[in-house]
Amino acid sequence: MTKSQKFLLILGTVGLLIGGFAIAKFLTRNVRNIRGGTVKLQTYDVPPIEEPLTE
Amino acid sequence: MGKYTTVEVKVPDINRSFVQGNYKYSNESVIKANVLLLKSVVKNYSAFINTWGTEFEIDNSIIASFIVTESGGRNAPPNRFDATGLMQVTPNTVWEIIAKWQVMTKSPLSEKAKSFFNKAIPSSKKYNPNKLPSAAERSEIRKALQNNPQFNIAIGTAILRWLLEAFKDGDVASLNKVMVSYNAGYYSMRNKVKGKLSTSQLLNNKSIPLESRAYLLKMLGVNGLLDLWFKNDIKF
Repeated sequence: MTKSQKFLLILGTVGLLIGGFAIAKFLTRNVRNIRGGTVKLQTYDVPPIEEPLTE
Repeated sequence: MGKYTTVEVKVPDINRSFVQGNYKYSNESVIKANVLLLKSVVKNYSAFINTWGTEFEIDNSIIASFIVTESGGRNAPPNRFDATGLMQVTPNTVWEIIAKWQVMTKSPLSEKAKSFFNKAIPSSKKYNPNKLPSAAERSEIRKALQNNPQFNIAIGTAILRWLLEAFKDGDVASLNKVMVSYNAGYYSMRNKVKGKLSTSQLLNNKSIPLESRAYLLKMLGVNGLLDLWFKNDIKF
């Protein structure tokens, strides 16, 4: 393996690691660790329903 | 990896807010009052919540939300259902937790919890899992629930963990079924909340008491207590 091939291999591996980390961070951007588990913080595009519950 | 099942919760879990007459959880004044209540519970009971939340692997946000929903952070005397104190626990449930923990959760009660419960209720060492507590035993439990806020929080948190284990779906435990069962009682709910159910499905299940369904909105709805906790970044 030539020097430039080695360099490209290392660069590719580092790129994959950084990319993987960034994707994982993006996918879990609204997820927080809490004691005993996780909480996913959600938002809604429309205002909440405000109606009393019925028997 | 903890000793108990992992809790997964979405906040808010439903795009609906609690309403009762003119009292609305989305009103600014109600939001402010609820945030203040959460903060006052943190201020007054953080050490107890932290200790027993760590023991039973339940987050402070969840315990504080239950305290506010159950009692508004007041050390309330027994009500008509005999529910007492900060987490509105009944003597029979205390007996059940202490006498039957291992059978129900498939995991032994830690020495720390056992010795704390035995100290708070000396007669609990003799509890018989096949015999409900006597009037004298219930009276002893009631006094501890009323006069010992740490005991009330410890046993309330243990009940939450028991219900999380009882209603888990595979490797994950969800809060919504725990909320209705904490209010309505495990035995009356266990057949009504079988399987994986969304918060919306539980809200529309009219065989669940209205007050218990309201719990879902008070804690998991928009501007519910858990929503307010995380929006306001309340910390210990």
